[in-house]
Amino acid sequence: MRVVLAEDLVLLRDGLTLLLRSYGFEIVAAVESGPELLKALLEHRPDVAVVDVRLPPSFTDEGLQAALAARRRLPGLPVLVLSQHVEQLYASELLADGAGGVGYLLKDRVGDAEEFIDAVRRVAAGGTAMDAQVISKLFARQRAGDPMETLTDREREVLEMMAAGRSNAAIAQKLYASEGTIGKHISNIFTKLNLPASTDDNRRVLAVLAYLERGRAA
Amino acid sequence: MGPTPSMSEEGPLSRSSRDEPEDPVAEQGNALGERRPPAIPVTREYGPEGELAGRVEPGAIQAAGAGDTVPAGVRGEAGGATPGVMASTPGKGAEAPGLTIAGTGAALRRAGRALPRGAALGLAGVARLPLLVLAVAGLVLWFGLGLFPAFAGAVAVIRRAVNVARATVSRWCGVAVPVPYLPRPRLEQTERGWFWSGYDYHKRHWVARLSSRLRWLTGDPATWRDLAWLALDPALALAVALLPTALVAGGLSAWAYAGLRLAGEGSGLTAGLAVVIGVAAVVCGVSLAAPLLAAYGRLTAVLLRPVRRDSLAERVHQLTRTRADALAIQAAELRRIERDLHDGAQARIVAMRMTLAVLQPMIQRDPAAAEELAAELRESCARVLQELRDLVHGIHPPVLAERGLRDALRSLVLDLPLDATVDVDLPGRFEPAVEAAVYFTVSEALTNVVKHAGTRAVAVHLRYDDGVLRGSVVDEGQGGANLDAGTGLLGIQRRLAAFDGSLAVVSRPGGPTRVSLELPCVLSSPRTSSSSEMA
Repeated sequence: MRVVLAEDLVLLRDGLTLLLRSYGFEIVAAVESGPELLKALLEHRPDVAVVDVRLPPSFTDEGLQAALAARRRLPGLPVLVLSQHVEQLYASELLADGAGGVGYLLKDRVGDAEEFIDAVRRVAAGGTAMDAQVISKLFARQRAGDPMETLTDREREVLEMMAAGRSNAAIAQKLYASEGTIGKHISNIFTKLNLPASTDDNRRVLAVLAYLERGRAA
Repeated sequence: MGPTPSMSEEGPLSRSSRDEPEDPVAEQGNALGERRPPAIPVTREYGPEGELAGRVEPGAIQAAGAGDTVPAGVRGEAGGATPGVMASTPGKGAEAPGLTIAGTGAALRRAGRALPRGAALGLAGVARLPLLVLAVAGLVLWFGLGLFPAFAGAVAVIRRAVNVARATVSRWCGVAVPVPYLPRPRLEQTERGWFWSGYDYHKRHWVARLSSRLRWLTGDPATWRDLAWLALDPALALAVALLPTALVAGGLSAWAYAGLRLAGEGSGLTAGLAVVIGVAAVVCGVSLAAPLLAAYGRLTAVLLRPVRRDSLAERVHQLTRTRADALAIQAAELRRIERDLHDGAQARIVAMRMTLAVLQPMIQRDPAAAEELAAELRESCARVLQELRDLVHGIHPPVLAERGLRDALRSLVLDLPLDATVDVDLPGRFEPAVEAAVYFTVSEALTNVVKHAGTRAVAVHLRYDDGVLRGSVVDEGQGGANLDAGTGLLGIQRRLAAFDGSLAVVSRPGGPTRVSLELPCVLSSPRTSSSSEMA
């Protein structure tokens, strides 16, 4: 799988390169600034891009801006954004086009190689990988009297993982349950929250995230 | 609250001023170009509301602390002069060299206005004589019996009366006479309970209060200039302000005398002389009325307006205080960061090293236990990173650095359990320190809403106009918020003061709460294309 990597800290860039290579990814470009990133993305059209939010020359959210700009030209271009901090604002900007193939993770998550690689693969396949912190912040802001309150603890757990972009199989494995049980939980959740049922992982994630976002807009 | 651009309308503490529909003095003040450096007016804006203002913004007009009223002229000045107002100044420039009938009419109208005004000012000057007696009595009681409060009380009354005179002279004589009083020093309490009067430490609150009052009143040259004016004014008022009216009255009585003379058997010559003298007196009186009124205004202003040295002294005083505050805040911030690193990340990393030391020999001996320790290490590592993230966020929020105020505030409300509307429209970015100060102000206000307001609905508003950044956080919660209740907003207020900014809280029990900030600043960069794309 061909990867474009954007990270300005040499240490981290080398580490990520090593990590991705050891899992069989091919690094077609490893860049360190926003303009370079946009150029590399448009030129190489990689299977997935792993991008640091903050890049030179301005050291603002240049990585994110470049990724968004590239996705405007190449809709659905899979991008996994890494950051020292996660913001709901950035998450919703990434998800805004509804095309899927986006990930947004804390840099810490790289420390857990298996999970990180899983997230990269998920994004490359057009899925979603949202950081647990984004999800928990979304959960934290639900109002009183929300249908969310009718969810059981187990269902909330499943919903959190689903919102983060995990597949039924992955959730089942994580919760030590059968895929069938998870499927049942999920259909319960969709009924309780009055969401349109969908088997497509990505569309499902977007529906859930949209639901959680609506909680705050209302 | 209407979307009015004027500062006095926007200023949350100037409710009293909003009640007045029109403020002619403000216009005059502007037209005459009486302006202070832009920084001072902003803080002065908060004067009129009395005690709260005294505490909120020590740099604000001090008279307010003593309960004095601030004449409208100052508000007008503070409001920022608009060149367009110039046109509305009455009378100015109306007389062309070739005097027209309309010109004469205008001159007569002006004289007609000036005569009663001069008379009123003249009489007021005499009527203020008891105040001089009051001042002398206050001084005698103070020096004779040590009764300083008597003098302080007298000064408070005198300031009130003199402020009325300032407002009247400003309105009638076309000369702006701003309030010159120095800001009242705020009492500060140290951690160990000492009170800092601005000059010295005192154990007891009332001693500190008395001492600070004494120094403040006697150390302000404006106090003594007020007294000097009270002594001079009666003579001045009689000689200058009342003179034209006296002339006209004299002329009229000369005519009456002539009439009586002619009606009786008197000589026509005396009557004719009386008529001539009467005409001369009336003409003199009428033509002198307006110039003398203006002259009286200028003479009054010499003593009653702030001398340049005063305003500079005030500015130096304010800068000294805010500089000390800014450094103290910075030092406290560094101490907090040091403590957080020391007790947090540093301690955790030490613990992780120890765990590693235990782990290494265990790998061979007891792989299962080693595995467990490794998991623990990973957990600690995540916690250190989270702590560092929180620390960084507290120093300078990353979104603020990356996107500026608008998105940082949007991001901030997303993380709070509130239904907030964020209405922020700024033409670009500001200095990082300014942005941070504003961000943390709003953040603190929102935190208070979450903690105390008992409502989820809150509106955040931020605009930049005429070199001033104005913002407000308004909630319709239970109200009753107070700047003194917590240290949070006070700290924020000091942080803003370092930029000549100010903070105000208006919160009625049971009513809405409005926290507003004003900060004079310049744009450091216009809006970039990427951020407008995002907007």
